[in-house]
Amino acid sequence: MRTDPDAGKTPARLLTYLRKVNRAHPPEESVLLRIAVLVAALSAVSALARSALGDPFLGGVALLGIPLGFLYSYRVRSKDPFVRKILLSGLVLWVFGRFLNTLLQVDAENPANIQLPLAELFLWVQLLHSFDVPSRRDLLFSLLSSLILITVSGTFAITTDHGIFLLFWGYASLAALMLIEQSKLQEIPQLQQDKTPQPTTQATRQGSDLLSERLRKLLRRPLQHSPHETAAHRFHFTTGKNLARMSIALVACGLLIFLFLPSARQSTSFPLSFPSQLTNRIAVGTPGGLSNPSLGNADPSGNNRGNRAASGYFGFSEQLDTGLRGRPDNSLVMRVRAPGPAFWRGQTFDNWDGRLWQTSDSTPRPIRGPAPLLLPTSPYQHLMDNAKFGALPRKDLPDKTFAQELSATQKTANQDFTQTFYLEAPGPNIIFGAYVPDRLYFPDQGIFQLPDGTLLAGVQLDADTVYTVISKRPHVTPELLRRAEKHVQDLPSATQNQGLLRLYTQYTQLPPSTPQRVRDLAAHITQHALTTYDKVLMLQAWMARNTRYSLDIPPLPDGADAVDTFLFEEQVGFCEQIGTSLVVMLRALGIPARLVVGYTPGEHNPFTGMFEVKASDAHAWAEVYFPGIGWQGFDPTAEVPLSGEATSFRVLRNLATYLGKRRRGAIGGVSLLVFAWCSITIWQRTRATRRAQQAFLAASWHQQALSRLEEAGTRAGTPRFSAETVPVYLERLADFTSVAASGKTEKQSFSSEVQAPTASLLRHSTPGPHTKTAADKTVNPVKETAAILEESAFSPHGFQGISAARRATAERTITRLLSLLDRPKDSAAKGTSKKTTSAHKK
Amino acid sequence: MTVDTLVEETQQALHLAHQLEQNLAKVMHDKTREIRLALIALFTGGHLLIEDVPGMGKTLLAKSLAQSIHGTFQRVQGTPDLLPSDITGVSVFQLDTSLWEFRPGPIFANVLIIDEINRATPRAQAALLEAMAEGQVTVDGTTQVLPDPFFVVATQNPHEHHGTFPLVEGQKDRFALSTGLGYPTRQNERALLLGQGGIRAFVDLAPVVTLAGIQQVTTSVRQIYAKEEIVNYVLDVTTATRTHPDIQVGASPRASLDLLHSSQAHALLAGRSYVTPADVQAVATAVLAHRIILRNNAAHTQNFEEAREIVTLLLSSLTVPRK
Repeated sequence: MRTDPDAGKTPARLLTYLRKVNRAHPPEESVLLRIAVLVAALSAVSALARSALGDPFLGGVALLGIPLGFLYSYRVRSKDPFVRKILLSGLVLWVFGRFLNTLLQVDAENPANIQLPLAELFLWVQLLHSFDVPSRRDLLFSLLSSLILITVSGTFAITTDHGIFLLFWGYASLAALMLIEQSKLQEIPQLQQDKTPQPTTQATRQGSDLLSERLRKLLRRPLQHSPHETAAHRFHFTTGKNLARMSIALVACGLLIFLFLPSARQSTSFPLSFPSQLTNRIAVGTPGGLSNPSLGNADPSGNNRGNRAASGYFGFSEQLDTGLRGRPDNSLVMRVRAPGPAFWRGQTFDNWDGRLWQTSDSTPRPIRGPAPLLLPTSPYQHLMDNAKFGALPRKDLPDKTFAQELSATQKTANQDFTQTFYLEAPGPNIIFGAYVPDRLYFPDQGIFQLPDGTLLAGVQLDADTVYTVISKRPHVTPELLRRAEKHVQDLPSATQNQGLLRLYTQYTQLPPSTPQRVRDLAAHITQHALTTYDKVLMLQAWMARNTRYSLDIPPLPDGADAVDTFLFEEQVGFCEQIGTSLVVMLRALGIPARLVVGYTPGEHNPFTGMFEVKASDAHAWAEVYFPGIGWQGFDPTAEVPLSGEATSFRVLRNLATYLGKRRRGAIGGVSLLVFAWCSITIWQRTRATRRAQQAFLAASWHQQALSRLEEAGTRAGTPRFSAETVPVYLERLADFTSVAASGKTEKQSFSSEVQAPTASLLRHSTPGPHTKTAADKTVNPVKETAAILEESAFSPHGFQGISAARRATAERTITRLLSLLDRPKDSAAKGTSKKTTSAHKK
Repeated sequence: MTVDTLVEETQQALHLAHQLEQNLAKVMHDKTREIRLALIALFTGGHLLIEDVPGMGKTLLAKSLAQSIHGTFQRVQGTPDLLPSDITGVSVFQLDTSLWEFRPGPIFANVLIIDEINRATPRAQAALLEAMAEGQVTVDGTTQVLPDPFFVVATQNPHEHHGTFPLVEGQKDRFALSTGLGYPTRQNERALLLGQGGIRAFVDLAPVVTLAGIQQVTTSVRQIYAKEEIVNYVLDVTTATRTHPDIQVGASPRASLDLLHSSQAHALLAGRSYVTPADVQAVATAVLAHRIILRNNAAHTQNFEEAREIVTLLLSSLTVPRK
């Protein structure tokens, strides 16, 4: 669809203009380069499809469409791209419109919701663009686009699988980049051969491609003439070897950056996104009620005495039967992205009957609001001033300095602790989080909170559910806990706070069936302890000494007291027994305590930055109430970190544990050495190549220009004499061309010039800029060009010292000379060239 | 030294040279090349030999050059009875002080013109050897340092003229450059007859450069960049004189040095800070022609014109450096 050039109408002009703007770049011929870019694009798309897109359709379309697009682009690479471009532009506009439309529907509060549409947009762009990659530049754009895709998918990725795609992408793009460089050198336009007559436009182009032509020649045939040229030979890529070398460097480099970049901690202060996602919305049976798929059909009333489901934890229920046995398997329950390890709390139990834990008050209270959902009755917020959760009002604290200190401490430690939970298996509808959850990003509105702070979703939480919890972790130190103790003894009587009294009643509840020897044991163990904190520590220490952790324990006999059995009969148990015993003993001492179930932090995967929580990480532990501070977890089996101490978190240390402590130094050293070696070699090679290139460019510009002129001059019958300097020769050429142009070729005596060139030699070379005759005032372009060429050759700065403008001047003049020199051949001066060749033969 | 200051100095030197050139051009019409060669000799710290038939304006050029410089200027006329002490000076016994007092000869000047040097006997010529090479004279066992700059311009008539003593080789080697003058064009000669230029212009000639200025230019000349290829080319040229079949005695290493320096000066005068092969070619005949001794010339009575032709041919047989 060629437009008529003489159509003067505006649309036609516009069309011509559009064509001009969209003029085709030279088509890329390297199939290898196309394949490399294709592989990079496909890796990126696969990575994105795997990590982000819930909809497999678009991913599949892209994976099929992109190779087709590349094939198509290759076939039409040298055709007029106009129609194609218009079509693709339309499609891109449509995709963008769709994206904007989606954007309008997404609620603006949570920026995380834009991520997915954005990823889809990028994917579409990549797909559509693949149909229009005729030139190298387009391929580079495609590569860049795939970089965006792989980056986006990286932000979505929660598993190490992404690393494989990344590796593929890295290799492919590395290869593509190298191939681009190689292709750049080979793509240099073909040298115009002498046989064909050259229109002026061709000559112009030739002139501007002086360098390239030389380079291209160099690549085609081996030259051993000058050291520069030999060095320039390194332009030949030994691609395979270099690729291997570079990929090693890439991986080593990546590892090093990874090792020394403290990435995880930064997300505490500035998290980039608060993802939340729900695969399907199936409401829980009773709104605000509990559901746990691992309970199966079991009745939450506790009739199921059989073994537990292996893939989930039974404990998340309205009641916890410590008589049940079971061994959760190592299947992945969820991944948690968090700035540091914490216990992922689920729910608490306050009522103990000797065998079952129950929640005495499970009245759900719905929480609604836009994201992020502020948890209005969160225990932390009410810790200090709300009687509901039984926290002691600040003003009631007898010790004013303690109150001040406490509030100061709390203020300084008011950092957000952002955790994102990626469920990998269907789980209970409990929303987990580090103590104390403050805000919640959850895709569904139905959130319920129980009086103890437990958060429940109104829908079932299937695999691939994502939610983000932001917790405020009180900064608690042993010293603070000990100081809080001073006020404990007299509290129930000293205060008129009803809430606190209720709390003490609620959380020191023990069934009357609790054996006396349990109470005695507790009193005995803690007889020397002065503070609650020390008492907890002593009880923990005693249990660590006298009991053993095991999941393989016989079932609890009917009617037996679980704590009594554990402490005095079996002395073997798992977290439920151990935690329960601690709570019961503390309660026996009049200290408010409760049992918490949740998950331990899980294993930190340094590559994804995720904590991988398995079913076997389900855990139960004790929480102890400290007036003025609140609930503080204690775990007799695994150590619950005091939140003040748990903040220090190093990627390096984690990686070391991950890889095995012994090998840490070796791996670090080896990767460092590899990295150093690779970077040094690459640096040296790059430098050598660059220098060779520069030297070559610098040394060859005037040489190329001259040899072109000499070749043309020889063809036209005015060869350069070996002793002739550039200014003289150029002037002679100019004289010749002007004479030839005016048709006076017959008068020019070439034979005499060949025999006695010396006569004019000195006459020409002497005059300089000082002889200011009238003729010299107008700048002679030929003289100027000769001067520029000479400067390039002999001045201390050489080629570098010549400005682009002067270079252009010279090249223009040379081009003009060349075209003039080549002209007489096909037209008037046939006799001349014959004469010259004969003269030359002499 | 940074490039900027180098460029600046070159510019200043160029300006000075330009002034000198213009000054000389007032007297010597249409002798651009000869004037330039004279200046090159001045700026390289060498000496100039002007050789041509009588009446061509050799002395005028020499005097004009001397006149254009703010400095002491002496003149010696080469005659067969010229004695060394007439040039260097003599110690005279002072009766009143009873001391030998050294009376400096004309050689103690910034510019010394030795007119018709080959009319002086070799004995007198020899008095110049030390002075021209080393810038000092030794009289009565005492070495006296000559002023700086010290520039000798000698004129000579071609050897075949009667009553001349050809310069000895050592003497000739001490001249950096030699040049002829050639006949003026008819137009210029007519202008001369009509009283324009020539001796009339010389009378009005005023000094335009100071000694310091000349020293500055001399310094700048030494800083003109000569690429390795250029140096090789210079060596090629001088080596070629030594192997040429028609040349009995080729150019000396001093000739090589002078050729390089003269090329540098030529580049500077052309407004460049680097030497090109064209510079070497431009000065090669002037530097070499008077130094080589041709084989067919048994009596050492040589024709400079012939030597110039041989040097030119020699240049045309050498490939110029291309990069």
